[in-house]
Amino acid sequence: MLEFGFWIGVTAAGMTLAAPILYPALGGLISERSGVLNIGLEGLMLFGAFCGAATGAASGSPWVGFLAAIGVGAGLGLVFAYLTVSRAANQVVVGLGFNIVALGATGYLLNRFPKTGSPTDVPGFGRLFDGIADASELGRVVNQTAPVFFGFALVPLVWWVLYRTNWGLALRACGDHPESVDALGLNVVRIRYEAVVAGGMLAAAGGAVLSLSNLHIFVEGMTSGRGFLALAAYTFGKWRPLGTLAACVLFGVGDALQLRMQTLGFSAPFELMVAVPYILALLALVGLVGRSQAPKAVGAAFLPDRSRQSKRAPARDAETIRS
Amino acid sequence: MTPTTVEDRRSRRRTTAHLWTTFGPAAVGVVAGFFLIIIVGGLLMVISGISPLEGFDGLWKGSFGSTIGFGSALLRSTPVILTGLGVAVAYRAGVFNVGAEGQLFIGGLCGTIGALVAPGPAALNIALALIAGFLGGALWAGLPGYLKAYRGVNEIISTVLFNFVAIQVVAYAVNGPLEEAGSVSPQSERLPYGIPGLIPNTSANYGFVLAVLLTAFIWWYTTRTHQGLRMRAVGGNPLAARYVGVNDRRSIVWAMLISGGLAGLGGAVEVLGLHHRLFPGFSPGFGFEGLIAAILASGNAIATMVFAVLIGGLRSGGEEMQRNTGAPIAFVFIIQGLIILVAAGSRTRYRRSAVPGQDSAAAHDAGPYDAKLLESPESMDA
Amino acid sequence: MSDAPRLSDPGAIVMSDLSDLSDLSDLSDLSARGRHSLPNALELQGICKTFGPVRANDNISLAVRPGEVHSILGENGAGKTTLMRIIAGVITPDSGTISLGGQPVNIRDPLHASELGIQMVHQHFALIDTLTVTENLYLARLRSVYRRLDLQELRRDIQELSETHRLPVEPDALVANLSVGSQQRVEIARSLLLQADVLILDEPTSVLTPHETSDLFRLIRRLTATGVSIIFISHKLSEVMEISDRISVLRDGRYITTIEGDKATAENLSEAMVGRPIVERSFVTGDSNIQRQDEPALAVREVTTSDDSDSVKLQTVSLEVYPGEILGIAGVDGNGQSELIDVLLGHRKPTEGSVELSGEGHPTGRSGVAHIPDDRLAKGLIPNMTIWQNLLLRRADDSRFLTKRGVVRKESARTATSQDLEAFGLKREVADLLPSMLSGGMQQRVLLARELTGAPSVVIAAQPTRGLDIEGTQFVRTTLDRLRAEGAAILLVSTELDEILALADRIAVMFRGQVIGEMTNRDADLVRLGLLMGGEAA
Repeated sequence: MLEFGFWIGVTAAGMTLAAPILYPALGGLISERSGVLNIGLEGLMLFGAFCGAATGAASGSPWVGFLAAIGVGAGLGLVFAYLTVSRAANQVVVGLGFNIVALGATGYLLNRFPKTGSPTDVPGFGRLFDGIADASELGRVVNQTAPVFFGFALVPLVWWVLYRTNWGLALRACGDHPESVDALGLNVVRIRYEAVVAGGMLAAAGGAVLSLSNLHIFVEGMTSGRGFLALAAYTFGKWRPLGTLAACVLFGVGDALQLRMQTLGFSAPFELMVAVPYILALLALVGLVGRSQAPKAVGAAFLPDRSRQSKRAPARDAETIRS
Repeated sequence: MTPTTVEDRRSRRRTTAHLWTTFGPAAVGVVAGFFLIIIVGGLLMVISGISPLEGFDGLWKGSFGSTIGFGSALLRSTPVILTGLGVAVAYRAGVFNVGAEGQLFIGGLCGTIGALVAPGPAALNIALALIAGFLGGALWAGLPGYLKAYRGVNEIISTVLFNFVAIQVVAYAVNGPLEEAGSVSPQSERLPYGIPGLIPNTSANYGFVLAVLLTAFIWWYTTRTHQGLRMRAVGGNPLAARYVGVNDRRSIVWAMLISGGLAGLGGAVEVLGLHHRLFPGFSPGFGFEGLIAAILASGNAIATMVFAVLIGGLRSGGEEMQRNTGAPIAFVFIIQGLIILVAAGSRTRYRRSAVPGQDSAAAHDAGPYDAKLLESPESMDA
Repeated sequence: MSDAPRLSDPGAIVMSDLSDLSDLSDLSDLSARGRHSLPNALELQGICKTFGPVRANDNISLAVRPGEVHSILGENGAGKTTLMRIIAGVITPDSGTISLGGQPVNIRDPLHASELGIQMVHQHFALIDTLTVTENLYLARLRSVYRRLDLQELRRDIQELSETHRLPVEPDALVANLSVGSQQRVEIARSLLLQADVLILDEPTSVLTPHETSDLFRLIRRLTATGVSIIFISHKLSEVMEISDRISVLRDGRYITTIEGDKATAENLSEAMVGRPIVERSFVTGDSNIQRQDEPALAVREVTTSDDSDSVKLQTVSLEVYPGEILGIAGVDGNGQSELIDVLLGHRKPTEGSVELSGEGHPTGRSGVAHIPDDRLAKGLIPNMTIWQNLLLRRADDSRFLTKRGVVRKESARTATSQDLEAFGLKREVADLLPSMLSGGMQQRVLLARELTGAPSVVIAAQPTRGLDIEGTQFVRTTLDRLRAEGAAILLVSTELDEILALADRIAVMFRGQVIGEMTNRDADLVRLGLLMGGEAA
């Protein structure tokens, strides 16, 4: 069992399986760091998966599908941001609502556009390095599709944005002390909108990775909880890009391993293996795996000073709010 | 100069404003729901070539328009009521229990085990099974409750994670230790006794009655007892509650135990009342529907029940509509989701937290910003 | 881009006070021009602001000269905060004009005010404590969010600022780890970085030791010498008299008068503030009246607590309070007072030592130990419950309206609590209101009604008059005096020395978790107490 080839296979598969989780994990990370908890990653992924497959099937190109999914993700992210930031709706409820709508909408649309469910019609991303893979064992690990590479490349990009740009600094501040950021004259609402839209785009992209890269099909409910796995990933990664990457790779490899376990005669209960990522995230949350601190203002709606009368901040005078 | 002359005049207006803040979104949700069902549902049906009249006829018959439909609506809403009550209790104590789904699963598991090992006769067996379900759910919620109270762990994240572990635990149990010998699909053995039916020729059972009774009890407990008052104090301001002598940490754990227990009871009732056996994924999201009902109801027990029944009715009506016209159940999901989003988004934007005017406490003590967090549960004795 | 001429131009520097300028000899542009020949730095005319039926600011006009320290004095509720928020751009006035340097301006929002050269240091700082000082200042100065992070230039500016104004600031420290005094300096640094011409300081000394206060005052002098005008908001007469060039008094939303700093006295100031001269009542009748009983009602014996990142460690603290006396704990906030109270109330277990409280156990029992928390919003009232429900929390065993099982008899509860409220000067109707509907003073009275009804034998009062107007303050002090006469043992924790001196029979001073001095009222004086509060044993 411990042959080299086995582990290469596991690693290669692990990367493939990690990618669809990495995108929404990074998206959820950005969103949550700004103070908006997005439990609707699952629904966004589903929309992205469908949209990617549908436009891919219609256009014949997986790239078009991928980009379309990102666009849809942006639009949906905008809606999410409007509800949670401008309307100050309960973030968990909105996320759950998105998940429900997504399930229904994609199921319905699948019926209307059956080609999306047909693997012959849905185009797929090809692996890029078949030649290298044939030539050497190790090559199999790097033989991934373009979106997988993009996904991994996103990690340093997200890191750079979070820690090396003004936007990232302001965003992190918004997640901990939105009132102070507001007092300093920065537009918390806009930053959160941007973060949530970015999150939506990434989540939807992750869904498209599922339907266009990992598989070439859309199946009803195909995300099966990956959106929540993404949440576990960035929680385990302690709200940091690098940690999130590590978590996703860990989960991906674990998944790949578990799939192969049965063939080896290991009778570790498959269901409990599935639970492992969540247990790991819990342990990280509790602090058994190093200190963990969620952004302090997560989940709470940000209400700018009521008595402010400014065009910049969307706040209104106390008097006009008399309900 | 008596200090309060200014405030008296405005107190009546404030009380109305306060009631609106508490139940406004709920009201908007119901009204929006009504319109959404008609407009969006009708549109979807027309596009799909289904007659809206037939569709709505099915929806109505399947929910409250016929005896059978009514029965199935009650059946469908029972676990939602119970999980909703659980979330509502936690909400009043200031804890956001997103783990009702997982607690429901564990409750179903424990209820199954209880029913399988407990002796007869029916009443005893069922009672013990339900108690087991309650306890199982309670423990599953007690852990994240403890983590929040004593370790400061964000309960939203922890309970979501616990959900998934619970679902897997149940799947494992049913595929392994509890598996019925010789069955093709994973499920437990058939349970010896089931909860008796409520309305003849319908699928409703006494689980609904239990849910209603518990609703009344929870409402009474939270609004009419001193203990309930103390729990709401913790929900309002845990630090202040501590300084009045309430053990806020213990209250949080207790609230979560009760909350999980109720959700677990929901699971046990579902298994014992409808399926009479356990199988993976027996809940299509009851826990989340309960959560939505509770949040829209701002934690008020009775309003939670009302919303839960509406949600349950929508689902059972949807199923009938599907049978009737071939309209896919997806329609119901879409409408349900949209209603949730609209209702959630209709909360009033600003919570009044200060008398505007001369250096009032908030203006003076709270620094330059009157921004206050939105999620504080309301507690007018309504 | 601003509408008004900037007064920080070299040519506009004026001198206000020569006494502390020996360290400014490197500023080469000192001009001997008198203040009066320049336009006012800030001028308000006819400012009105109404919130509903309340006239927060009623036709206020006043002027601040360049380079002066101009104090705004007034009771809580006089309209100072509203006026400052108008100047800082947080709210806009209903009518009236504001001029900067002689030019009328229309201040749209705080950002605009900042561009015009107006900065405000609030009582509660707008700092992000998970970031460093430099990152905080960077965000304050941020123009475009869509740029690369570049802290270099800022570091240089901070260094320069720090040297020029002798303002010690630790650029890489995490704000969460800074003392309150340091955080305040960061806020001031922010204002200077943003090139303030007018700097508003809102109750800056409430969180400082006497030593830090002198440092602040010296800094203020240096700043005004460079031309910055300082608006100093306070309710402390002594400080206002010490630092101000001129003092404007507000009362009930109206402007009353402006008094020159050297002509201000406690009498004319308080008369302007309240409308009549105030006699500070002293309640201490002399220690010959205290009948020491054998047993103290409250005793802390050699209590030590554990080391914790969020709290001050108490070290072998020993105190005793006897029935019929008030022990005052003086000291700046943050020297262990809160921790001491937490130990007394049982919220925190000491690692060594013991606590004895005679009183029938804490709160939800009957009157036993009463506690008035120092923060009525954070630690006092529950925001989503009515006042009568808030009061009810304290009465778990009161059979007047609770059945044995704990069911609340709503009507009798409301009636009983209304009566309790009346005893503390509140109308019965208050019982049905929410805490947010009441002003600070009323909320404090509600807290007193909650805790002090029923003759408690031990009272722990922390900052009981914080945020109260003079009438409210007198009421609280009279109440405590009455309770003492009735035999209660009272522990009074206060940052206001005058309050301690007015009420306490004995005084202990806390510094960094220790009791570093204890004396009777007769032996106490401001100087000695001030030194102890700053950590210097007398």
